[in-house]
Amino acid sequence: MPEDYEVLIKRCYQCGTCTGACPSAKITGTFNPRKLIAYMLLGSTERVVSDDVIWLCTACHACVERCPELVYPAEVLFQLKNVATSNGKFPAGLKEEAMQIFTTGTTVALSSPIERRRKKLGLPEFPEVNVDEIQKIMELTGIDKKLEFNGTTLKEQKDEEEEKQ
Amino acid sequence: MTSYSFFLGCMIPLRLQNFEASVRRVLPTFDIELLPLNGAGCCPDPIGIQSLDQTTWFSLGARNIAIAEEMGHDMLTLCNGCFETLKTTNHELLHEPTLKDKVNGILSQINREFKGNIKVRHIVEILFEDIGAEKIREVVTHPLSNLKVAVHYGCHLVRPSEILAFDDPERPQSLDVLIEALGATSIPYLKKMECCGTGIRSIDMDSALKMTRQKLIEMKRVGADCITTVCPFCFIQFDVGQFQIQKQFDEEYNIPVLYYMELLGLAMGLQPKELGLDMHRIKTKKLLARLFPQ
Repeated sequence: MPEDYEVLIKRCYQCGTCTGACPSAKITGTFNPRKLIAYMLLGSTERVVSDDVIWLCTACHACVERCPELVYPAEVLFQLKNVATSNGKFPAGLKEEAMQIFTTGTTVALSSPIERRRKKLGLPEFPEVNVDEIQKIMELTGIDKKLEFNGTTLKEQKDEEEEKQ
Repeated sequence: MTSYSFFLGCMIPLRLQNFEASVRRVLPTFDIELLPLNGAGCCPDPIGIQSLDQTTWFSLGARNIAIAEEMGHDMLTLCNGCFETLKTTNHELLHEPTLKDKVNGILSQINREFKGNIKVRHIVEILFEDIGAEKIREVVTHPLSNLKVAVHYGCHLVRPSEILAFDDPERPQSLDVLIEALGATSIPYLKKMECCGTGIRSIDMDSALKMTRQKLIEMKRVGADCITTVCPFCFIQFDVGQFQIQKQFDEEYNIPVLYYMELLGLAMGLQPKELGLDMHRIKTKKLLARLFPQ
């Protein structure tokens, strides 16, 4: 397991191999792992953590393969995003994904059309997911509070929103 | 007969049933038994959930592995995302006692424990390493001759190589060998090992589609008849993505996307319908008519 990001970035000599390998850097023009690490080395970690750009890493790990100094840039990014989440800053789409998992244990909810499609293809019934265990884990790690689930499930939140409208 | 704890994940059984159908129809030929993992849930997603909180990511992953350990068989995954999550979790917990203790502390609250006594395998590993191209060639009754396939490995089949330890992270060849075993041709194309973009689909759709488009341009340039993937996320990015790209860029590629197991099933003489080939967004009809003229 790579070390904490504070340790990892100290090995960086700013060669830019990560950014050269990065598909997101090429396309977005704003995501630049070398530059993000440079800011951090200059003491601006807070600024980096609060910048939305850190969420543009596709986690392809091309940078991890090519970095000559074992900085593990994708891992640095994961840790930064974890800090951002703890600070209450995370993309809405990911909160929705986590809430779906909290609610059904899966990223897609089982529905009757899905059950029909499975039957038509001759597939066995979808095995039951132990949602209680998954919810318990997500409460124990504190992710439910970090993402402000407010003790409600996705369905309950949706119902609440509908009631408000 | 080899038995595996069959980790379905969620995208495959709940959205891309064609993946599951092809696997269930093909694997018995190779004497593989798939045992249901009762109680398992999302792997969870190696990008989204890991980005939010690594402890949650490891703990939910370790719970799935613990269920498989109780069954006593190695775990089989059909998806690069599940492979990345479960193999990384298995690897890190085995090598990091502090992390293992932390995660087991959480799992003890639901009466489960990660022991670290099974392996996590991807279906491509099993086909390439255990079964081998030679045996696959033997079961082909309907060779996919004259079919030019653009192989897309997907990042999380091979990277990070330090953990996944399968094939080469930059120049892999397993899937190309497996495609050629079906009588098809794996055509080289630029940007072959580039990410499809799905990793930021829910964050920045525009950039995600631009990444997919870059690859489609290269696949079209070399005249690919179809794309093959071994990951449901890459599949959706190419299959549904081509529709989105058509709208956004006014460009039509119309290259069918097939899961490797679907191509294997076809080469074994299975019917397109039983493999779920009619479920694709980019229609496969013309491709099938050309491959198997009546």
